Amino acid sequence: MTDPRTFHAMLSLESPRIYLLMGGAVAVAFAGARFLRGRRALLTGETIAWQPARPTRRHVAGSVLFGIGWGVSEACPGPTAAQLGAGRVLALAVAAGMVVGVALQPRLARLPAGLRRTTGVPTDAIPASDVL
Amino acid sequence: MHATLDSTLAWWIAGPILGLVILCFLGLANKRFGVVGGVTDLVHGSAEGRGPGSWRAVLLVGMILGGLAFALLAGAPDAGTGYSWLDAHLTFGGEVAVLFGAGLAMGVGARTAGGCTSGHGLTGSALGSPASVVSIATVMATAIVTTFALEAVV
Repeated sequence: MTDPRTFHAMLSLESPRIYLLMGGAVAVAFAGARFLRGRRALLTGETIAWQPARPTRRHVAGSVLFGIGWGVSEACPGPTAAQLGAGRVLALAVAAGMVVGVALQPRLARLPAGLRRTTGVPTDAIPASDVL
Repeated sequence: MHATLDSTLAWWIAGPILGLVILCFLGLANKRFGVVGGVTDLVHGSAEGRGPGSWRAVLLVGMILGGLAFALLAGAPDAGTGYSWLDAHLTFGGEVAVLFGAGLAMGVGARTAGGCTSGHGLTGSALGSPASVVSIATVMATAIVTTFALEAVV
């Protein structure tokens, strides 16, 4: 994943590899999570539990914006981080954009109400600790 | 070692390993694996911590170092100024601008949606959260459409 061309092959539907990879990860994690639920976390002792979240407008709006960025850059945050370490210089531009975007996003909720209505910008900035 | 790292890791090995990583976070500390959380903690801080005091930021730094480790072991095949299809269409300055803009979209989008391809696509989906499933489906559909649109136009 340190080569953006891997994602190009994925998103242009030329290669199923990354879809299969993600599917494999989700399958393993899904099965393991069901086993772990209700048990005590090994290091912290807290009960392993989670609440499913309902999809809201911000999930869709945010995801559309994210998908456009991914389609253009052929990178998403994890691979970009790996690319930074691997010496891919232009990953710095992507990373810089991501950091600025994350920093700016909560301010969008404070745009004037009229502008928010016409652009459809979600008005709620979710708590930082709820960001995955 | 080079030959091993040159060959692409099979999806049915890499995928389950990634799944185990998610389970480690869940099983050891009841934490949700994701990348944007780390960026958020570096930028704003959160209940999970601020800057380097946040486990999520440490995870992010770990991923960067992992890339570095790979580069050192594999002879740095990714180092340099190359960047996929953009190289053929833009100057270096143009690539910087376009990639920054794309990063901006991803930063705003992921913070809005509360996660990215790893947070929603892997962890949230594995936990069966409808918000995550909707998010990753939307991300994928949009990214695919964007890719096809760019191929048609460029």
